[in-house]
Amino acid sequence: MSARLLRMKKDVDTDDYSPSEYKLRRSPNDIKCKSKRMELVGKLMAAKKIAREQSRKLRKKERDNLGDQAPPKQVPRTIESMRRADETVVDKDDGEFDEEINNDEFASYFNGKPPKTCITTNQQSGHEAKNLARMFSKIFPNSGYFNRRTYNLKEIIEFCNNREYTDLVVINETKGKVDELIISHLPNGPTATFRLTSLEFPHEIAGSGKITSHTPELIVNNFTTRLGHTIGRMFASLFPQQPEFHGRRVVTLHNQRDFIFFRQHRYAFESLSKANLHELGPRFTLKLLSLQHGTFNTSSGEYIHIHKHDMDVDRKKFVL
Amino acid sequence: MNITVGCLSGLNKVYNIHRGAPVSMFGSLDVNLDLQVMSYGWKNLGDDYEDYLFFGYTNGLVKYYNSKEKSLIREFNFGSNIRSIEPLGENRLLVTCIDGSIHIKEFEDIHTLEPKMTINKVITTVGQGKKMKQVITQVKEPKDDEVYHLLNDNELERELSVNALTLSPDQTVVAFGGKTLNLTVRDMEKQTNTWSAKFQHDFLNLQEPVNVSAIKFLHNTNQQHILIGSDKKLKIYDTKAKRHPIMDLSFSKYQVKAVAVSQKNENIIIGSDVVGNVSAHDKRTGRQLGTYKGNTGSVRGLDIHPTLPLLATVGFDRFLRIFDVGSRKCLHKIFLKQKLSNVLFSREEPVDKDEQDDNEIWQTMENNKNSVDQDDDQYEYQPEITVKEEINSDDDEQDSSDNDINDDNENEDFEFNLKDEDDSDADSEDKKELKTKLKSKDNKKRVLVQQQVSKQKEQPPQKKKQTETNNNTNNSKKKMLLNFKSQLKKK
Repeated sequence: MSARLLRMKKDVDTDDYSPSEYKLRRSPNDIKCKSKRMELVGKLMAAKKIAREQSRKLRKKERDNLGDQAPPKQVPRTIESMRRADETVVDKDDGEFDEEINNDEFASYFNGKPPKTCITTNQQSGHEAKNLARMFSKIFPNSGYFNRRTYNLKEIIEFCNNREYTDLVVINETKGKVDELIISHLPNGPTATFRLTSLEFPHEIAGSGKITSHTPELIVNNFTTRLGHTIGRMFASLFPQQPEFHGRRVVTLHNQRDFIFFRQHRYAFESLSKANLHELGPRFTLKLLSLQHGTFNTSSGEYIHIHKHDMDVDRKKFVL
Repeated sequence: MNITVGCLSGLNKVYNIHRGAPVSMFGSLDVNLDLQVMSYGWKNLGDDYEDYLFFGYTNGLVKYYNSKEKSLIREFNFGSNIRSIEPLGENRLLVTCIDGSIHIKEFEDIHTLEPKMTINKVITTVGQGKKMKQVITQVKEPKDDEVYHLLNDNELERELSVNALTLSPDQTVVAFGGKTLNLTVRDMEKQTNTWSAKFQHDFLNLQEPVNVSAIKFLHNTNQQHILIGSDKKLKIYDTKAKRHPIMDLSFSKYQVKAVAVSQKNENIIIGSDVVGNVSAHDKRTGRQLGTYKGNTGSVRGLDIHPTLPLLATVGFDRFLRIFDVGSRKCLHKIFLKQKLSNVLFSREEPVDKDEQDDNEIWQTMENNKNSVDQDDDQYEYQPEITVKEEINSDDDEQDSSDNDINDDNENEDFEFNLKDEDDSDADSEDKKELKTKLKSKDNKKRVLVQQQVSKQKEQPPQKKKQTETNNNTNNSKKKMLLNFKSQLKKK
């Protein structure tokens, strides 16, 4: 045997551990043979599971014994519950925030101005983008799908302003797959760019329903920070103000961990507390890439928020 | 130390970093306003000239505020987007609009911005026919602004615009530039353009785009060196050398928004872009030294403190961040709820928090002392003592005989009074030494000695001499005490 190996063996042979004890302390990382290693891992996991179940039973017993005086149940830590405290979270009681938010670019919508949307795609787009665009024209009321042709976005914005449109929605695709959504609020408003993923058309969703032309109710969930409020209000200003409740149609934009989930449902109340949901329409996820002050202008526009890789480092820090 | 922050939509805030608390908030929230320029008032307004602030907005409004009283003093409207506001001389104001027009207004009173009145002669004809007379009346009217145009009609048609204008430190020249308008230097007295930069061409011989967004004069260069942020580049020009930049560097693929120059002895230039990158470069070589991390939105306002190595950045992400210029660490990060556009440091140096407490303690003790002294008519309490100078000189002068009376009392008086003087005169280093000495409850003599040393430091600037001076002063002090005692005896 080589001198090096001898030395290693000597280091390992301590007087404290007996050979059988040493075998027990062996971690799976030391075993080079995969099948043997997986065996040991399986044993350890089973032991852990049993230990966990036993402790759970014990705790339940103790709680039952204590009855009312039992300590509160332990809540599991999730990434959302451990979210880093954010100073920009909007406090509803704050007068300054209130005044500023209520008078921002979307204030005219919340004061009664109806939305008018122009939906288009990128130049020479594939059929997926066009289909989605046509679907969008059914989802947003008072909207129209227009063929992009070869106009620049700046030109299109000029045309829309002349015809008093309030919003511009552009669906971008690469290699046939839709991957980006640009929403620009029109007279001078902010422009938000999103990455669109997990797109599923109604024909791909099992048991999906048919969209009706009733104006839907809107659920905009979980936008807490100041930036979140801007984005939330931007979505809200795309939809009508007076929903037709007898149509029982709902559009949900739910924010969780900086991902915005878009869903469309029809609901029917089974009882006072429970409602059944029937999913319709496309379903997709959005992630905010950038929010730019002013209308679409990549060359000299000023950004309010732009996603940088530094922001991905901390798993518990969210922006919306 | 106070920092004034101008918000995009009209509400302006003053924040004190050391107390970590907002000081005041003034102005009114108006969503249609878009702040472009913010600057302090004239320096001859007095010590509180930093309370007077000018704000220039995109719709042509110029507002003059007093931040302490939170009052709007006066408001002007120039019609088009304001690009710069510079107080000239003692009572004049230079305002630049985006269409290239400069307005110079003259004021009677810079506190209230009363326009200067001139006496104009008005000739009116009275009567008819043969009895026509010409009557000359003198009317007092506000003086018209001097208006100069930097762009002619042809240039305006081609959509050139003036985006930035800066006054040189000695107020003789003005440097301006804008969209497709290269950096130009204009003499203020003669109102002629004396120097302008040339367009540059890249390796394909295509003209590089020019969109000057920020201009700053570099220190100690006699108005020669000018730093600009143009499109995606930072450029330094030497007006006496050539019309092309002497240094040309780019740190981002986005437009440069603001530019800052470090203090006189340092060689750092800082540029910020529309996306939040704030990067520091060496002025001489152009090498990037590092970036100040944290900003997520467009950084519109940069300011460096004139004496301390602090950089304040302010932008659309609604945060005020203060960095250390050398180490690039973020020292403070404060959330101010509005979109922020401009920032200005107050020119004073901050007092240490501990020192502030110390000062308060001394103040209260002093006040108590005062009350005790008033009972005794023999002793005149004089806050200022010229004893210090006496200590240094070994001559037994009898000029300050009045002050001698106090000293036989206790040495504590000494300390209080000298401390008072020190508060206004001494450097922060000396203050710290004092503080440590006082805290350790050393001999009062030693304290005195230290203070004497601080005075002597100013004359021979070498630390080695301290030990020598200590001995000297000890001896001289003893002499002085003896002297006083003898004088008192005489009386």
